[in-house]
Amino acid sequence: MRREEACQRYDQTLGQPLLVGAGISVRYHATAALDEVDLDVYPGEVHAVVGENGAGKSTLLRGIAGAVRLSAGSIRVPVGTRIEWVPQETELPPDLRVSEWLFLARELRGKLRRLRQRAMQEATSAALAAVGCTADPQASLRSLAVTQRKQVQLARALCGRPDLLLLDEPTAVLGQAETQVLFGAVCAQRKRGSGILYVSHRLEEVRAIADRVTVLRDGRRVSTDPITAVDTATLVRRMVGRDLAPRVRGGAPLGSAALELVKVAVAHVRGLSLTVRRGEVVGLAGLVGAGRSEVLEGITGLRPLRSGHMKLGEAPVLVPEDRASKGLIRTLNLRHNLFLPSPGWRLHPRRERTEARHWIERLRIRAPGSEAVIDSLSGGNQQKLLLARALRRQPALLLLDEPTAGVDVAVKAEIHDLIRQLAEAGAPVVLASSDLPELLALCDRILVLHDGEVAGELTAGEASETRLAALMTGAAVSAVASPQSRAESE
Amino acid sequence: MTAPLPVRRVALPRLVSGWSAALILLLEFGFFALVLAPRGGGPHTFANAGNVALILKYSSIYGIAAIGASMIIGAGGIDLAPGAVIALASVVTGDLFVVGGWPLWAACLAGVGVGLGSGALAAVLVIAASLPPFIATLGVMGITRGAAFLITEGRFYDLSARLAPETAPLGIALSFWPGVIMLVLTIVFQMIMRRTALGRHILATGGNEVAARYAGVRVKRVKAFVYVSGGALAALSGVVLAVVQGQGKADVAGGYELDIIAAAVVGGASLSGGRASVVGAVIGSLIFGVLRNALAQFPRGTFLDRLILGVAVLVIVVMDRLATRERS
Repeated sequence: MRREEACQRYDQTLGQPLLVGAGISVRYHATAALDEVDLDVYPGEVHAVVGENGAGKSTLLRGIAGAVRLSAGSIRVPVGTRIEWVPQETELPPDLRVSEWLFLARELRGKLRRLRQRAMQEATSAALAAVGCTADPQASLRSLAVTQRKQVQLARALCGRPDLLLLDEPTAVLGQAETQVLFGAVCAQRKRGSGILYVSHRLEEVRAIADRVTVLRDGRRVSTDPITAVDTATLVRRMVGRDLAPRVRGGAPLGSAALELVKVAVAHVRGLSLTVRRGEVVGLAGLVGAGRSEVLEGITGLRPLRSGHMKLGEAPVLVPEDRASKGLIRTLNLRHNLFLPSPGWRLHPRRERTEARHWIERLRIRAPGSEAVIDSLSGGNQQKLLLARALRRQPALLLLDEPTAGVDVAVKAEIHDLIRQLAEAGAPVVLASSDLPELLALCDRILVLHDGEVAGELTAGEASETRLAALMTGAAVSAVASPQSRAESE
Repeated sequence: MTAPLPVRRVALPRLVSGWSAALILLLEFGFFALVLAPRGGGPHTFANAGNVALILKYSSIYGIAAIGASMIIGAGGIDLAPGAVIALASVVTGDLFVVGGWPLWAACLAGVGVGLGSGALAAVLVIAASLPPFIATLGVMGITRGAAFLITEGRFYDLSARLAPETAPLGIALSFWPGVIMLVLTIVFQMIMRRTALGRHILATGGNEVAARYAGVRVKRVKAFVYVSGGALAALSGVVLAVVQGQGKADVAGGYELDIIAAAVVGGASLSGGRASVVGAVIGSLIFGVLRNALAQFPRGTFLDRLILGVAVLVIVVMDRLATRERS
């Protein structure tokens, strides 16, 4: 994909900036998600923000949209600027119709404040067409596929006639055709003088559409350049900022099988066969909705298997994704969460306290003590607590679902070390992650899911971000030769 | 990437829970003892042993059921059935004792059995049919109250006529039994809640049912336990009412379910689940018991008591909310 193909660049006349952010900082407890980031957006430009998972891209958009409070810094926007934000993932009210959602809280009204249903439906059709969405304006949001939901979100943003458009990984769930249509819509916005802040980690896209590019790493701004002034290899280097050593097996032979799945179907996943041996880390890759979590939940028994066979030694222990809703219980303190479920029928608070202190020390959990309130822990320390809870039970098979999501870099490295140690000690691990470098750094083998089916399996030697991404999106491996893979080979 | 919401806890101690509810009870008792002190000597009509025993006796009808309510609320549920279960248990006990000629102990056991049944029904509706607890127990409430009317057909059972005045099982006078039962059960269930895995699993389920399930807590068992034991405790309240007040009637304890929930909440239970105190719930029902008893000694007090109870619930719960408010 070349920029010229996507759209002709509009000759921008640098006027007053639409947005000037200075020293933007956002802290979640002890974790700095954004640290003194400067950023500006001019009318008629697409300003891309790139970075790895956890670099702070989404937090930056949240801060600009006002969804999170800045702990320092300022964001200035001219009075009357219309801002539209399309978050990466959103829950939609399932029972609303598409046209109702597009105009929710900004309904077109006629005399006596009567709703102008016909006008809204026509506008909905036009907006959907602009983003290449084939959904019926009368359909309920519940009935839409993931791709259509994203397109509906984009259409809603365009309906707001934004001066400043904030897009967070808009193409993550779009296919190539839909992506092209979206680029057209973005270019149209640029042409009418809107500023677009475009967050992505797909560098080829950024090359195709951006005028300027800002690199974020670990919450800090590394650089801002015109896209023509910087090559992809440099961007990659700035994004990563460190060498991720690929996993080197310690020479120890793999043990016996801890888990065998034969043609298992669970939720919308089907035909999954997988063997995990002791001492092995197996990765599960896939886009949002590919079925990674469902597979782990099926192995744990939280979801029934629809068909197939599973051979399992002792009960596996799952560290679920989404700490807030599936992980920790906020009304209980650190120790109570650590000892859940409590072994035996009687509680032994004194023994628990001693053991809790041991785990706090071993995983270096930064907490005021074993009785700490959950809300006083940072996201990273909450994640460590969840890991401690799993390890306390000495699992015969450890299932990790996004173990480093929303965790700062230091903690991420600690968790990675921990996983390596576990594997070396012979514990089999299944690791589901959307973080490709993480999978590459930790796994012996990576199973790629696409739309409920196994799209491929790569060994540590074969796997690369490009090949994984191609399998994840359902594209043929050979068809993709992105600048990124060239950068990797350098 | 899901970053955690920045939630900070205000470092204020909880005003009402367990022991701070006890403080409110003491202050309340002291207040009424002063206000109702007889002028110019003479016997105290409020602060005397006989009246305290009376307060204990009548509060225990609420208190025993409130133990169950606090566990159900702590597990994230709600129970609207206790008032009706109390009535049905009193009717069943009365019928078997007066009409059926059963011995007292057997009639009482049968009365408690009523609660096991209604609790099991609620548990099945909540767990197997996954109805919201509010709806499930609303249905159980209708069924049990209806069953009570069906049995009595408008009559009421006069147990006192068949009870010998000197009846004193295990050497304890009948009028002291309610207080003793409440005290023992408070200790037992407080131990269950604080010292056993089951108690922690109850609060974990109420705090975040999904997370509890993911952690390996068998939440269905937990729910079955709280609804069945909650039903049995409510029925025991009904048995106590029947024996102590000497009557089994289908229309007794109307609206008690809300008083019982209020007692649990005043005692520190959070209606969003995850927090509850057995001791607190019992103290909550004592707070209301003292209020009812004392107001009866004021002119027009009995007409005021519902109003003052309502205000008291709001004041105490709002204070509690302010103390534990979370800022985001």
